[in-house]
Amino acid sequence: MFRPAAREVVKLPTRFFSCKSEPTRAAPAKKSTRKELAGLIPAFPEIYPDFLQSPVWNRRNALKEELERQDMLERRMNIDIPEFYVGSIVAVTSSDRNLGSKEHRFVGICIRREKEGLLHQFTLRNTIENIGVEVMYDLYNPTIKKIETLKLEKRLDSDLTYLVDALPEYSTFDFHMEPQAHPAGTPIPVNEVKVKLKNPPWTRRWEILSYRGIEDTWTQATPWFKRKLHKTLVNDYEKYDLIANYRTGSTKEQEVFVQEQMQKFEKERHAAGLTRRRILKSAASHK
Amino acid sequence: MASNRVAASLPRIGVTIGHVPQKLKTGGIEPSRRARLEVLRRIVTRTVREERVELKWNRAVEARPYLERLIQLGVERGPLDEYTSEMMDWWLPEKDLITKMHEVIVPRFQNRESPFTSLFRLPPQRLQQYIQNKREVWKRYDIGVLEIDGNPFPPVQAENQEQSNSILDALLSDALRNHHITLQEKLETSAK
Amino acid sequence: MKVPVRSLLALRKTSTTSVAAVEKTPSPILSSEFFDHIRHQVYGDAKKVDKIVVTVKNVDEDSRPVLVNRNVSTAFHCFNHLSKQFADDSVLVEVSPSVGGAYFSSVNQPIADQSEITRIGFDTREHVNLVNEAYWRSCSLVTAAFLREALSGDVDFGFPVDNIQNGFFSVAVKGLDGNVFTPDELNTINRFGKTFIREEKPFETLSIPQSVSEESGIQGDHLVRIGRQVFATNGPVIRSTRQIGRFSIFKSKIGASDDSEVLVGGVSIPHCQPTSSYSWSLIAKNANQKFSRTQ
Repeated sequence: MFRPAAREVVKLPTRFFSCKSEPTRAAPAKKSTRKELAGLIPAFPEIYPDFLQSPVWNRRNALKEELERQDMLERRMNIDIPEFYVGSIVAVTSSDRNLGSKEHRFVGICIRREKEGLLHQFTLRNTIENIGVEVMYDLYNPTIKKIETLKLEKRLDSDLTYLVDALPEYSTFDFHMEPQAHPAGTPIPVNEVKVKLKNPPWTRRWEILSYRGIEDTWTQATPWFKRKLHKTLVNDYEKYDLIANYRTGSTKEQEVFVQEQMQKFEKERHAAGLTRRRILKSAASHK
Repeated sequence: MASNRVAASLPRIGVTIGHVPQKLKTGGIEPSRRARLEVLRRIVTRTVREERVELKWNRAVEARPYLERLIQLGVERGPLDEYTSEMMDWWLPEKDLITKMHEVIVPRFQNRESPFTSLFRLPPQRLQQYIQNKREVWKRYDIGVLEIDGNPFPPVQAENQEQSNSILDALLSDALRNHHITLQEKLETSAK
Repeated sequence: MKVPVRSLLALRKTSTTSVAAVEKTPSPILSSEFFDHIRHQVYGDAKKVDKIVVTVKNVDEDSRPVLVNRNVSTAFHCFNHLSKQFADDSVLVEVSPSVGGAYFSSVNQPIADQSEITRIGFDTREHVNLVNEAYWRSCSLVTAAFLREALSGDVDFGFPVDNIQNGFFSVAVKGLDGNVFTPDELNTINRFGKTFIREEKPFETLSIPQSVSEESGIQGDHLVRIGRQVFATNGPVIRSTRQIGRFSIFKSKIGASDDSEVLVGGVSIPHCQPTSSYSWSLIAKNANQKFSRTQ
């Protein structure tokens, strides 16, 4: 009998997935732009921690960040904020109406830089008359008159809070120290000094926090503390948690976005002829 | 946290990442954060070896960003980077997989943006757990399929079906095509 | 609804008053009585009943034999033995008679011989083009049917062949003396057409052998009756006006080949393929543009 068309039709199963991604075959794909953009700084998060986003995701607010960035850039046009790291020796001159000279200069090693945006803080530490002094400055405090980097260097750690429990010689700096120039275009030197801590008790259990700049904490401890501290929390696997780092860190896209904004701001101000001051700069990548 | 960062930041990962790490069932191994990483490590290792694995949905969602980041490290920094090799060593304890990662998987994505993996949800499965006093205990599992893109297997999702020729579809596709053409023309004239 | 159109056309007739000498065409007056006459001629006397076994083939289940009347029962009646839903959704039917080759026919066409029949609905995959053609043909027939009911004068209709890809169907109306419809009139006609379609008239179909069509001067191999209007056409049509969903006559213009005929364009979607009013407006706009552009 004559059959006009095939009776059986292969019905493909139609599925609906909740996930948006599609299995793209890997072979032909768009060429992505992985080139480094001109004038951008690789070490941006270290030099400008105040321009990063909050590590707590639900506190990130694009509008707030944008407004704060504008204020920060305006402030940086009025005061020269040099590049400095945790471990650099910094002098801060701030105005103080109660002093005869109306201003106050403090020199010390930068031991912390924390918080993002306009609230960015850094802490200087020095020993004055055998007493450790830590001064916490708001970077965008308008009473700060001048910030100088006396010695541009890094330490092995990005947080030197442990200096509070170290011997006082590690945090003693001369107030009349001459600024040491850093040759432009050379990498930032890393001071690999390992500090000796005082005997316990300490303010924190530094030995379990995997600091690299502390020398041999265990042998100095007295037997009482050895007994007390011998059960330690081993958490060195935490560094393998790739996504934990990702959650608190910054992304390349955000850094590029902020740097382009800073470059644009600079260019506008230079074109207006108001100033020649440069905001986005890095000693290591300077040409 | 404590030590200084050395290299530049990586681009963002193109998959959904929750702002809180999810707890995974680890059978009561302590500490649970270590056990969680061990579970994820097994999943990542298995995925790199097999390129397509079927998992519980929540585990697949949780393991996917780790796999993405590992591939991204290979793509962005290459095998010679210190941090990359350290992470590869830990996440892929079977050494032939590190070779596979650098020689097979990473070249596949050399000119590609993330995501490098795909995740599909399969229909939930109900499985019998045990029988207690003639009472059957069943449990429902959400199943996900995690795969590395560009794998040699047939696609999970059916290809797009050919365009229907029904009256509505024929008319509507024609209408939409002409609609877009007129819009384009309008734009061009307004641009001039 | 009928009255305003009629009076409207009547008014225009009186105003133009150019009653041309209508030359009589050799084609017969297609009336309902003529349809009955042809049916009698083709299928014989309805009083003499023969029984035949028709096998209804179902895609999923087994085929099912049905005992029906030869030359009286249609495929629609056979499908009704299975279920009403099944019958209502049928658009065309594929008939494989025990003698001779298979062919596609309308659902409301009497079955002449013992055969196997297969339903074709709008959801078909193999015969999409066939169904689309039949639907477009039926739409122009329906347009002609309600235009003839609406217009008081003697009008004749031609059916240009339109493709679905054109985006519109058209009917050539002869006897309007080159008067195109104004938008107001088209609105009225559309409203009338909607009520006409809502009456759910079946498309009664006769397949006419060559000899009969030559003898009685019918142009085409099928005779279709919608309500009381009869047309000759060249292929199968759908089951009922119930299967027509959105329907719109949007424009009329003077025919390109002949000044005396007026082309009426329209567009429609089956009832079982629902769409949003936005998509429908896009379709109608596109059809209108395409209809205006073609010569």
